[in-house]
Amino acid sequence: MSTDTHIDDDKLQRFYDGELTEGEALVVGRDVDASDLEQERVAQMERLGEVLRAGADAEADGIDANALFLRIERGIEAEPAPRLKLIEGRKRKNRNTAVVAVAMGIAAAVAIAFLAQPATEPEIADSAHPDEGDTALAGGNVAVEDPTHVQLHPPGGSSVELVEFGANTGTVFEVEGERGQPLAVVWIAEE
Amino acid sequence: MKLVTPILRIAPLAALALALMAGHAEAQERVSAEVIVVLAKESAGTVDPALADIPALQRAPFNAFQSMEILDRKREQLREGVDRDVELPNGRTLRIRLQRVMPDGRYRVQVSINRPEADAYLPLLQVVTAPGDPFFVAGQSHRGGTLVIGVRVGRASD
Repeated sequence: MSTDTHIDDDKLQRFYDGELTEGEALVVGRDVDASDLEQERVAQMERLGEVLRAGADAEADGIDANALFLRIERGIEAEPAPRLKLIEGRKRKNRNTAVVAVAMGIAAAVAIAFLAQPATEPEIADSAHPDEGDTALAGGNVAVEDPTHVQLHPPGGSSVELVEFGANTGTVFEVEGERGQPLAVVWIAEE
Repeated sequence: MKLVTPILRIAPLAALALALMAGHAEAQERVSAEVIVVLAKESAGTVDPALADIPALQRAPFNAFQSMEILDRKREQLREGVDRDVELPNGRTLRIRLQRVMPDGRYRVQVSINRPEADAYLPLLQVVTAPGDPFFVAGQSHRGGTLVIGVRVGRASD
């Protein structure tokens, strides 16, 4: 049944999809029946269709989209079809470039705003707890001794950055606020 | 590139404008502050109901006090870099300064407690605080009790 007849890719795909008119379908169907090559091409389309349907079912079942796309991509590679191919997203690339430009602008704004801030003294400690090794010294700055115990917390509550007790002794600790936020307490014992 | 090129040209100008606007707004900002002075005693007594909005005073170590009396409650308007003084009942002065409003909305505040011609009780305390969240300075002896000073900067809705 082999012949040299070669049916146009697009027409064969539309034949497989049932999109040809009745007359066109009769002609193409006859050519397919007469050619082993065309029959193999139609069989490839069927196998590819099965891969895609399996992928669609998997997606409906909530299977990972990346794995699904990978399977489809492999199916396309294994069964080359004239109307299916992976297309690079050129518009997406342009959008990415625009996003980068806007991001650069925002970053520049933040940088300028940051640089415009007045210089401040270096931060000594974020916060301290009486059970976590804070130190009280007479006549000097006090900071948390063990930096591994510095507590980091989201913006809420209050914390001591720096304290000078002068001639007195004192300690720094926290109490819990109504929302569980740490509230700084400086307790000074008068000498 | 038709879209990208104008954005690249405008971005630096927009950035500069935003920075200037932010700096201007910050310079103009006034922030309310409240200083509450409480006399706490370990002897039996009552706790002023007005302290109910500061639950932290009911927790350790403050819960060791059996009585709490509000001696003073003052509201101040703070501006960056400007000192505000609050007279304390023991003759000392609490000085408070809003050092800066931080990018995350918290306040960096400096506090000192001094008495004229005497060694400072608290030469310097620098605190970062969220709007409406207090911090406390306690320990001064006064009238048979202990002064607990709560400072609240801004309001939770600020």
